[in-house]
Amino acid sequence: MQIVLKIVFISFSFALLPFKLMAEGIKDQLTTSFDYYSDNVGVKVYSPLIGLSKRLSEHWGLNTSFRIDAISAASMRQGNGQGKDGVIVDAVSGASGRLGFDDFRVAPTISAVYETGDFRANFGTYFSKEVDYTALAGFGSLSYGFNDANTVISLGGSYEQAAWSATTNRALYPTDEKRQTQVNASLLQLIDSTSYLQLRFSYTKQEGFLASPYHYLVNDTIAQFDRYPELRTSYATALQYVNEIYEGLSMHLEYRYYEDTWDMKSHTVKGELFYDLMDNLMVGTRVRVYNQTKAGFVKKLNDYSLDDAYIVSDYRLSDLQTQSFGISMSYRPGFIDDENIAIKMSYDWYQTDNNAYIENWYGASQIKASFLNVALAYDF
Amino acid sequence: MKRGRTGILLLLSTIFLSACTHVAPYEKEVLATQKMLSNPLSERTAFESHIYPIREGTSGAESGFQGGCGCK
Repeated sequence: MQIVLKIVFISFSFALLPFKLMAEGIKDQLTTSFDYYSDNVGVKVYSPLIGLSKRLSEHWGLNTSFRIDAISAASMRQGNGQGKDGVIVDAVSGASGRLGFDDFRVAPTISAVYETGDFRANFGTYFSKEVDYTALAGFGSLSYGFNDANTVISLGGSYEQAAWSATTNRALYPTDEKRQTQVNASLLQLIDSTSYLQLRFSYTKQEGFLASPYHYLVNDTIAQFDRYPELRTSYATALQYVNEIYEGLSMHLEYRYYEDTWDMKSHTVKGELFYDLMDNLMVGTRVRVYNQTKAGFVKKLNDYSLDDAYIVSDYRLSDLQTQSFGISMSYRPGFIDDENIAIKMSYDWYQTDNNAYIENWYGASQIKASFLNVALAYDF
Repeated sequence: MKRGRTGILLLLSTIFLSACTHVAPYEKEVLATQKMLSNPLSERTAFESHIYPIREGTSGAESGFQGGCGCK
């Protein structure tokens, strides 16, 4: 069993940004973005995105985006590596095993926006297709600001239906489907003219085949694919505090608590500073610390036997600590069309602590990664 | 339930704050700047809201929504 971490990138930022939404309204904007990820276990991902937002009328707008993920993943360390049509399945992406980029994914999304006064509604759909996984989803959100938009409430939800088609030709039991329902809510409250709080909450229900179809465990007594419960329900609450602590310098602090029905809990703390170095140049630096406890059915790798209902080799269900550090900048070249163009860049360094499950799977004691984002936004 | 109490406590705390403050529209100049946005670099947020859930075992309550791949 092996594989599964498909580092594919797809993101649809759409809801839960009420303050920004209320402040800016529907914009005519063309966005291009290039994301790059690389780590010490051989995964590289190149992910370009193009997006278009267009105001259609006084109240209506349209958002579209199209992303391609090109994944070049590590060679497989465990297993026979034999996949569909004789291709080799790599250890990380679970993709086709072709030379060069192992997997491509396309992911179009489209949404409509309705806005009137302090009310805003957003709803849409996305489709995602890769060599062994296909997903279709619908999403929507409502936002309302009151008390001169000193308080903004948002409610959102999404439903995703997906199906595996494992490249190993493995039949998945009891189903090859995966469904996810998510409900989000947020509340933003201004404290004064230079600070505010934002509270976010999410409820997520996942059903179906929730393990990776590729991860497997080999110890002294068994060689088995990962098996997880077919239902997982989780709750997460995050509180963000933003304050201008000095003229031109803002501080963003955030804490998130998570727990689920697999007995996992996590704590995430983030801190970031942004500084207006010049009128058209903002720079930032940040740190993030993450800690999770293992799922209740996770055992030490050598303790699993054929009697176990659930088997886990994936480090992501184990006790885990990670840290990341990043820098960023946003620049509006004033000589181009009255600052209608923004260039944004960010770089982050990410690493896990030493972890026996990572060692078992990747042959490295920890994962060390870099990720880079370069984006250009044009308001027309 | 513990999680319910925590969420309600945070929610009520935030609501209570609303009763003791009012920022007029003309006082929002600083709040409207990019560095004060909840999400100043939206493209980066879209990117990282996929990275972290792939590399870690838990996710949720992010400022962006992501989904669609078999990586989690």
